[in-house]
Amino acid sequence: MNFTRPKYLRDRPTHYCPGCGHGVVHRVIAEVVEELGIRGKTVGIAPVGCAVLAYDYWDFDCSEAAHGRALAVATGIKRSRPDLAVFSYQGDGDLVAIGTAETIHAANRGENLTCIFINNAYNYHKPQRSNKVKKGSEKSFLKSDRQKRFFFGGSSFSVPYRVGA
Amino acid sequence: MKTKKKLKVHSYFSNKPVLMTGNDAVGEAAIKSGCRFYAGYPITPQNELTAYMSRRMRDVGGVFIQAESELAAINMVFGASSTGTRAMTSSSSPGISLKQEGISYIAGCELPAVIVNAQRGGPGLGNIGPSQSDYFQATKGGGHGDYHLIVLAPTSVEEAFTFTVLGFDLADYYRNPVMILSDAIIGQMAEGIVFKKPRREYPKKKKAWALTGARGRPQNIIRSLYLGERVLEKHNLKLQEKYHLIEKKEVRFRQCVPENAGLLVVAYGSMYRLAKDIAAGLNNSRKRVGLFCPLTLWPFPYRALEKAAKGIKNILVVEMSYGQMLEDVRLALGKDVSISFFGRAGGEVPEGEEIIDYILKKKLL
Repeated sequence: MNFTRPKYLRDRPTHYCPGCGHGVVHRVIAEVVEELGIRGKTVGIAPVGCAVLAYDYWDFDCSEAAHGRALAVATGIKRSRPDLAVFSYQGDGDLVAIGTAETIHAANRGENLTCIFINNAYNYHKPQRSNKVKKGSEKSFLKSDRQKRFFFGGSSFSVPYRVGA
Repeated sequence: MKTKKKLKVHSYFSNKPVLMTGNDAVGEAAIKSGCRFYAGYPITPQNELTAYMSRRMRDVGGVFIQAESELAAINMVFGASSTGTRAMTSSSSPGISLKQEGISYIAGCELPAVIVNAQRGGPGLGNIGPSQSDYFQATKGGGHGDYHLIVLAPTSVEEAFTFTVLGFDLADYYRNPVMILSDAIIGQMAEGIVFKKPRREYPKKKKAWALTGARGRPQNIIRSLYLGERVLEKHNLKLQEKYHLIEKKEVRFRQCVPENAGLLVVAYGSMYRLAKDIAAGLNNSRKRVGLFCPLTLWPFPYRALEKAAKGIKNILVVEMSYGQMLEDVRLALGKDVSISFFGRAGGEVPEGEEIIDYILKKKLL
């Protein structure tokens, strides 16, 4: 078996920190788009945060969205072009904290969208917690900068190289 | 037998007059301009427009969404516009404040969109009376970053119609959001109008930038994020170049300055109608009253106003605010000209007579 770069993932250096899982999820999405053969009708919506640059890695149409509003933007795209396959890629700060209303209402309206939720606890702003961090978890971690980076950098993803932090 | 539902794609433009409110006229103009996406959230005094769009979008097979908030509505318009669809949203002052972040993103991403503001009294929740207190917000930024909206201010229901048609053309041509700045008076009063077919000054451009699925072409990205040294500066300079072009080409105004004018009244939107009454009311005096009405608030007709005011002793600015357009009039005319101001706000409309009294008391004429 050959381990190669998916067709719709660009060949470029990553800007993500060592141990970060975004790159893996980007890869998986590029693989899925290739497998389903839907590059010609895919529109992705990048979040606010580190992964806003997702559109520089994927090779299909992409849009940006204001923080938390990705599903509103996705609604606008999908409703005006129902033939497109539209997905949003959002972290917990985006989807759960600031964008709760857009998330719930997009679901409530039954919008025909895919929402990929990357629950990685405010990776970009390292000392911060999001609404999705479990109560008390900060006590057992975060004793040093290195540990902070380890926790926020990779703990949400079961990826083999997360120790790289 | 199942028949395909025939869509009412209306007799486009006709010469038959109809009675219509300003809000409805904006809606009909949007439909006739090919707007097929509307997202909004109810707020008085623009509710008629949301209601109108909910009916008409169904007729023409477009999309109407009553969003969960103004934030969602403007971002839905962002999404729809990024696919190349003509899209519109509308609100009134407090709701427009909520939309500012989205408007800044639309301007930053160079997406065409039409945003309607039927202004009401402020600040805060204010009241639902007519007002012109959002002039600064509309013309000087509102959201963050160096950007401009093209701001059109209709003075009648007929203009609410023609300016909306024009607004969609301008938005597409310049890839820039356009604001229709009306108020509770223009929005809610009914006048007879004719759906005149406007002169098409703007050639339709193919929207090659739109997100339509990258079938057989390189990827399109709608973005306003530019990291890296000087990249954002370059993007900003490109925007500024566009704004300079708009300032050069899209200035619109109306003026009526008699030769022996002793006073020039400067007013926009619904206050222009009042200014017209004032001029008629003072018609018997020895000196005549001139009128100047900016139709585009951005770009503001600085040079045209300077020209119109040449040789006139007194200038009076009338606004439903406490002096917002006044600042632009001062910029246009400089310090040497005597500029008076009459304004009422907080949802109150000045009476023609009180302005005439003010003119006579101050000996402006």
